[in-house]
Amino acid sequence: MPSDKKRTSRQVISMSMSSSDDDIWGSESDGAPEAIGSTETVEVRKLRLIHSKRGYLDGISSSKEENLQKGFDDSFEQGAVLGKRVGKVLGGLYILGMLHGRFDEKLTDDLMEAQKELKINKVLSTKHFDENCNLLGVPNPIDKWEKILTEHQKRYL
Amino acid sequence: MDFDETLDLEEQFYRDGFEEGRHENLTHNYLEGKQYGLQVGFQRYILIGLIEGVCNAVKSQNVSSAAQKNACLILDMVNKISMGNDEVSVQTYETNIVKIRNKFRLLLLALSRYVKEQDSLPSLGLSFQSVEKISKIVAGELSSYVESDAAEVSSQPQNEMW
Repeated sequence: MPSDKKRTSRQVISMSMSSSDDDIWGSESDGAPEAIGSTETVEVRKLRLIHSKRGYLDGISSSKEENLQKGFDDSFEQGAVLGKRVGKVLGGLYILGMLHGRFDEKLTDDLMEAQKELKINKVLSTKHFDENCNLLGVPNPIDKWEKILTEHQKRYL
Repeated sequence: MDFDETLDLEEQFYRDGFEEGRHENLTHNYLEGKQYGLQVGFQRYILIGLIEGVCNAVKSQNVSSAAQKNACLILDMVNKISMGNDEVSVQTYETNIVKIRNKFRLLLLALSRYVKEQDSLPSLGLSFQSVEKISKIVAGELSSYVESDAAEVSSQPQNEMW
């Protein structure tokens, strides 16, 4: 689900909590130069590794659940719009099926099929979103089922 | 390098690391919040959509005028609900959803009677429970995402869903 960037971030977090310093920050034998540029000596580099790591872990802890609510609020409406569209399609098929389904097998079958294709995990599938969880302009099963509903509605107006 | 310089460097490195860790976690949290917001928004509004879909169809069908009038009333109430997660929107949702559900139940009862009169057959599951069931089959239970995967919904791997 997460983008490569995010996965990397999660891996770093996970590793930093369970492994030794070298797992995240590398070791002196990683092939890095003994000195960075002309000014950073081995001692300074060691100092950087130790204190950056401590700061990094504290930085993660300091922002434990910060931003969760903002993310939730920012996408809630988009989820609501998608859920409502799905509901409208299913509601339309449902009532037409109840009123005319005895004589229309296709309508009854479509209601069953729509329930499968419009499940939350299919509509909110990663393939419909970019790495920042924004909706992409790719075909969504809702578009297809809105057209199918319109066709049924035309026949029973 | 004297003692003071060493201390300054330690502090600078700590601050750099702190900012990096904080930034990464904030980004991660924001995306996690967005994923959860999408799910909850979807789950919360699918029933509203179902009700709207039924009422829209009823309006255009040759059914009793009382049922059509009720459908219009329900649609007016549904249109008052905005879809944000701010305090006012949530309050409007909470206030209206109970009334909408009750009116919708009555509409389905009237439709059920209408179908029975037309066909002299029992209406095939025309009830609020069956509408709610569709909502649950498609979107799962709202609470199930907090504790674990929704059993009915997760026919695909969890990591395919936001």
